[in-house]
Amino acid sequence: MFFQSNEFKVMEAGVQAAWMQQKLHLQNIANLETPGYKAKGLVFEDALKEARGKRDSSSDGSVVRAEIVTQENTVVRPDGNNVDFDSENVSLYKAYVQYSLLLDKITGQFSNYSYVLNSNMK
Amino acid sequence: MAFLGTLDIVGSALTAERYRTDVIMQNIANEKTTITENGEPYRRKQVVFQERPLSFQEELNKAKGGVRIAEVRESDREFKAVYDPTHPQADEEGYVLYPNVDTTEEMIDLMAASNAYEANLTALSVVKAMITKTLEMNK
Repeated sequence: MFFQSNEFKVMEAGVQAAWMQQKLHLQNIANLETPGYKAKGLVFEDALKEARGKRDSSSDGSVVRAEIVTQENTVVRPDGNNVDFDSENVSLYKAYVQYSLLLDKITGQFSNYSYVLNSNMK
Repeated sequence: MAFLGTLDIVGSALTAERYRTDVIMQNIANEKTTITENGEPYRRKQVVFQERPLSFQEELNKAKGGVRIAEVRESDREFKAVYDPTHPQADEEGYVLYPNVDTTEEMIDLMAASNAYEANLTALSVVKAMITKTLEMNK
C-alpha cells in the first residue's frame, strides 16, 4: 500500500521536519525581546551523519531526529539578543510552503488510491 | 492534540508583550506621582523577559517553549528634584522629588513592545494557515 511505501515515509518525515522548523522559528520570534537570547536553528541528524560519512541504511526514514543548535556568530544587539525577525519570518514562511506542498502531495496520492479502490462501483 | 502546543509559543509571547505594554502604561500614568504607599515617589518599573526552553527530545517534560516574564524590576535611578515650594510634598528647601520616569524612554519602549506584538501576530497567521491546512487535508 501507498502508506507503507518508502515514498510515503519520506513525505511523512518531511512534514515532521517542516513542523519542527516552524516551531523553532516561533520560539525565536517569541523571544525577540528576551535579553541574552540567542537564535536557534535545527540540524537534522541524517544530514549530520551524511556529513560525517557514516549514514546507516537501517533507519527507516520516517522518524526525524534533529538537534537544536544555537547561532552564536551573527550580529548581537546591545542586550545580547541576536534574533533577526525578517530572516525568521522568511524561514517560517518557507517551512509553511514546504509543509503545505507535502500535505497536498499526500492528499493527492490518497485520492488517487481512493479513485482506484472505488472504480468498480459505478 | 500535539500541534496546538505551537500556539502556546505565540500565545506566551503575546501575553508577555501585552503585560509589558501594561507596565509601560503604568509608568506613564504615574509620571507625576510624588507619593506611593512606602512614602517615596513612584519608581519606574521594567519588565525582564526570560526564555521558556523548547526541546524536541523531551516532549513530556513540558519543555514547550515560548517566553515568560522573569521579573518586574524597579529602576534605582535617581528621582528628579524640582523646585516648587508651594507643593504639599516639598521638603524644607522647597524641592519636590518626582518619579524617575522618562516619557520619551517609555514611548520608545512602547513602540518596541507593539512591534514585537505585531511580529508575533504575523507568525500566528502562518501557524493558523498550517493548522487549517492539516485539518482540511482529507477533504
